Amino acid sequence: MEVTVRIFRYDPEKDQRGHYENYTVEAHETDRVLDVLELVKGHKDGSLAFRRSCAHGVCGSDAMRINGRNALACKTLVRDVGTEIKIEPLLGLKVTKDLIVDMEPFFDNYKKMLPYLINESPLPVDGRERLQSPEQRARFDETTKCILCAACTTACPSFWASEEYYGPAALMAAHRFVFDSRDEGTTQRLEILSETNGTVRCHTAYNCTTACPRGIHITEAIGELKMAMVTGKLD
Amino acid sequence: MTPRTLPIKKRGFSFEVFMWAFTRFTVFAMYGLILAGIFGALIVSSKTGAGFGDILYWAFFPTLAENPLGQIGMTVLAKLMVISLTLVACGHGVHGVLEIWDDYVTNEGARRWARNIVITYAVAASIIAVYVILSA
Repeated sequence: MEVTVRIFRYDPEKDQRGHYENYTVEAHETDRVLDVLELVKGHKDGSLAFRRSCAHGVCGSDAMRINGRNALACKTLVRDVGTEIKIEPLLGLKVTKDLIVDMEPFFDNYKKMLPYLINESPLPVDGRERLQSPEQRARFDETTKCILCAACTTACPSFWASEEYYGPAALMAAHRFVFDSRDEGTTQRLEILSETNGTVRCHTAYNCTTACPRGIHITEAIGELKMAMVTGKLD
Repeated sequence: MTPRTLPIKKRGFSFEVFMWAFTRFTVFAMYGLILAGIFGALIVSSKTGAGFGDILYWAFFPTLAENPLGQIGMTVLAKLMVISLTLVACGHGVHGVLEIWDDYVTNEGARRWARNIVITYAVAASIIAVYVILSA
């Protein structure tokens, strides 16, 4: 089938501002949008720039706006978006070139959440594992699925308003450790989250939940963080 | 497995979090007060045989002599209800304005100024509203 792709193009060395270019390629309905992009880059215009890595929905590199919705190009099939596909870079982050955005502000916010296990207590007697029950593990299972693709953060109206807002992905990183029974950095993280750019900037628009390619219930998880700050309950 | 609950000092309970909780509380409070007001009005109307228009008239012009429900007047309870509704609505509304401001303005100084202005306005507006209601 013939597929027409309308792609946002921007080369900082040539263009004052971005523009769109149309390409027509032959693709199967079971092809992914990433395959279509590869066809364009391989056969139509080698200067097209986009990120990709694993191509299997795990690395989160190829998040972009496909027909106005944030999605991973490698997980979106042509049959699901039709024969006329509009592809744009993620919103809210500076475009570096074509479909590539500057992820620095996104990862800066992520790092502010102290996204690692904090535990200064002595190791258990056997010197090996800090044990955890299946129920305790299940408490934060949902947010361990995050692949940091930024689809949620760049779908968030609060993040569009200001990139100072930590954003849903950073809050997911916080959630993953705040509710981990082995972690001892909860108070530090909750103090960070209670800042002006923390959870209070989330106005439950639910865009993040819709955008997440991993199906994480992000807004619900942010709600759990808010309730933890009010009630102090972590179970 | 003992439940994990953080003491209040370790929850990162800041002004922002307090206002977030306050804003949610005021929504429920407003719904409660509005429902109480509606039920009160229905009870009054059933006792006096007043119509919906009379009830509305009573609600907005409670002290006018020509009010068909003038004999009921605005009781102390009614005044307290209206004061409560005004205060929670004012608190909820001004905090909403502050939320929108904070979404777009990230400068610390501008945020502090906006907060001071909005809180001053909320306190002043509440005092004036309470005075007007009590003197009605």
